[in-house]
Amino acid sequence: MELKEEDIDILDRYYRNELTEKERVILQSRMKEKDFADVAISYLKTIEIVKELGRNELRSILTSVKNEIESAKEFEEYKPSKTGNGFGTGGIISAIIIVIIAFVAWMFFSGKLNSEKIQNSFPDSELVDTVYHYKVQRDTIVSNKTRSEKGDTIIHIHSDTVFVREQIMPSKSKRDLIISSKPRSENNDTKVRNHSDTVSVRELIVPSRNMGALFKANGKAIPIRDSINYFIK
Amino acid sequence: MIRNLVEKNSGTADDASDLFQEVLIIIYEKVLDNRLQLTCSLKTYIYSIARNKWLNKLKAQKRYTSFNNFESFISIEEETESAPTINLDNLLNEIGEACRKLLILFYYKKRSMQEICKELNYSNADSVKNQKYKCMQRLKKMADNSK
Repeated sequence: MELKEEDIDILDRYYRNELTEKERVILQSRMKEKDFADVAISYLKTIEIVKELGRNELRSILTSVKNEIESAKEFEEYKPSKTGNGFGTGGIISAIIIVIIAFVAWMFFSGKLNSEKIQNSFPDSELVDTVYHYKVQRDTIVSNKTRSEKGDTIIHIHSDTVFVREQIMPSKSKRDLIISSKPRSENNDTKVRNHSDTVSVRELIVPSRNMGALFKANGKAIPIRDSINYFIK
Repeated sequence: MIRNLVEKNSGTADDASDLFQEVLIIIYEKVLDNRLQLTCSLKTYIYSIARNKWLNKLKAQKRYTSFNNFESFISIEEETESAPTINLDNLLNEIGEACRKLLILFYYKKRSMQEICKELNYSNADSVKNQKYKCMQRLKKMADNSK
């Protein structure tokens, strides 16, 4: 049996809850005819498929809205430092180093530390003319933002870091760094080029241990790690 | 609220996210059908739907032992949801964009023929009706074949 135009119309209106009481009674009585009931139920099942298609469409809209919100939130939370002069964990480490340097300086100038004592403690220390402090200056450029197969946001970051001979200012950026090359500048300063790919990680950057000679006393440069050990002893 | 409900009742944050999405869909459909009648706060209503759905899911997966509630809730009329027995993705590809839009507008979003005519740039409501009939025939045929 094929549905007539008026049958389709009444079934559509039944589905959309638009039937009058009279039409509802007529439909109920027609549903008692097996032939009509079979095709009518089959028709209503097809409408259910359309409903499910509509739900799927709505689900994908809601998912994309959710992903947009999450990626915007993630992007907002992630604020790469252009100058690396924040006061996060790196800032605390800087503060500790500065306090230690100040303490050592105070010990030296107050006479509690003298060149003989240093020389005895560090027989291999070198004579230097200048004391260098290092500063990390990092330009971070967020170059791309893609999605993984699972829908996670992947932020690709490329950083160029130039170590210059100034005060140590570790960055508070929380990233995984991979040092890919270490060229020299014209002045023979060490330039470390960092390339970082970040996949939504929040980890601490431990400042490089390669800080060189940081402390000078009576023409002797003492590597900072050793000077710390010296005072601990 | 929903995350708390799910995580304290054998679910994960992802489950909570999916559940919230399903709750939004239910509310959207109720609004379309003019069946949304609030007798409590929207928060209680949302929680009640979420609670019902999560409870049913736990029971269906036989993970239900006891249920911890964190908010007041009301009794919600059970939504009958028949799981589709055919592959909707295939249908979606085969039915064509024009038919998919038209049928979803008419049957899911409950738009009138006149509104669809305007939205999809048909010449008149009768053309929409004819096209809808053809699309339904095509969909029915595809659904029958995929069984």
